[in-house]
Amino acid sequence: AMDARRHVWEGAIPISFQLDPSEIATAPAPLPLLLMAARNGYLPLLATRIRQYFQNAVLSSPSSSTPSSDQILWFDFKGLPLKWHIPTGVLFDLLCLEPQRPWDLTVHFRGYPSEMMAPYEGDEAVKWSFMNTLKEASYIIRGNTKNVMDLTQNDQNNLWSSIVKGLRPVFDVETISGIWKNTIASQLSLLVLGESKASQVARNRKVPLRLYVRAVNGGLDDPFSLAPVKSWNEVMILTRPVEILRQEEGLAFTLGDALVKVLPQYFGSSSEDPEHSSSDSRVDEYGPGVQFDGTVKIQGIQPNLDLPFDWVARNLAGQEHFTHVCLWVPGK
Amino acid sequence: ALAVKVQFVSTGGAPVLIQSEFKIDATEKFAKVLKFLRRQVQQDNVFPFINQAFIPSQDEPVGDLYKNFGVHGKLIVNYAPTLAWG
Repeated sequence: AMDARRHVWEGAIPISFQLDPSEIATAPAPLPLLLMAARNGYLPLLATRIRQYFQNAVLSSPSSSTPSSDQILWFDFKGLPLKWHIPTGVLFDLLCLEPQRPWDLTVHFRGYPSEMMAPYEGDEAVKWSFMNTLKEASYIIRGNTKNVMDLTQNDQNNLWSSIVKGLRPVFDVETISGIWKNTIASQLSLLVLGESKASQVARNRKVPLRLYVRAVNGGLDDPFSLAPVKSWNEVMILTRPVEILRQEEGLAFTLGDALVKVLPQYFGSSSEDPEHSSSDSRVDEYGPGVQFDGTVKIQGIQPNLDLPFDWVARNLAGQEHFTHVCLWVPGK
Repeated sequence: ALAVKVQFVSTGGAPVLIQSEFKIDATEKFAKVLKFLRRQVQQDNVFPFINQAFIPSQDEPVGDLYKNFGVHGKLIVNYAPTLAWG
């Protein structure tokens, strides 16, 4: 399990950044910039390197005297502006059902779509958004944010720098020492406890779950021919804490059980509906317990729905302690 | 559609609202609550905290926030003039 966690935290996506053709001032056009982006990082954290690479090739703003260094970078994939507060890996999983490598993104220096997403001003804004998501997760897990509020400025900076560097968080159970033992690692959640300890926890507990649901018309049989997402209105983003219920002896509360609970409209429990035996082989991919004819992705993985949910939450959660689940469901 | 009752509570010296409770469609995003609040207090520099605890993402549906964090049938939104408060 330690291994799974390390793979998740050190996961990266190759991205090819291309300057918006209408913003190119030089001939020949600059070559795309290829970078590895941390799955659990955020796109603006790459902005400095991208800006440096393209700044001599970009047209200066026509109407204003704003130098390109003051302009807010933003990115689009096939015309869809990417929301910067969503972890990069989640954007990738959600928008590329069939993974594209490298992922082709377009960089813009101009025309920030501020109607659609809040502008960010430097890494501080990204950190701030991260810390608030962490607080929200903490509130779900523990009913308060005291543990996050109690972090010293130094602790916060350490935590944030591990995200900027795309490293395992410093509060990982393997790496904690000294103060961390008494602060975030022990306080923030049961998620970072070792497996044996977590299973000893007697009470039910809540796991922060964020769902990104995309309805796909015409089925999912050919992921290559799927139309790209044109607007964020096509994606439902939901925050649904799931309580891990204690099961009878020997039975695990599974990922499928969790999804049936939060999205009963898409997931059916097959045990309740025995005569509904679908001929669709997709159902079996996810294990026998749950009926589902869409696709689920967490951290780039299509997990078996029979995985214990507790394991999923502890190993596949993002750094802000939310488990981000991308779902494609057949449209009506 | 379902409506959520939102109560705004001033903190840290932010302007107090005479009317502090409003209803908003559960499917609306939190961004709309923030926009509305800033118009009500006539200031752009107010920061909303759910239950004095955290600032949600602007994308979160108000209905989810209410379901997850609502207290006594309301979604309590504290607002402060600075971020330092959170």
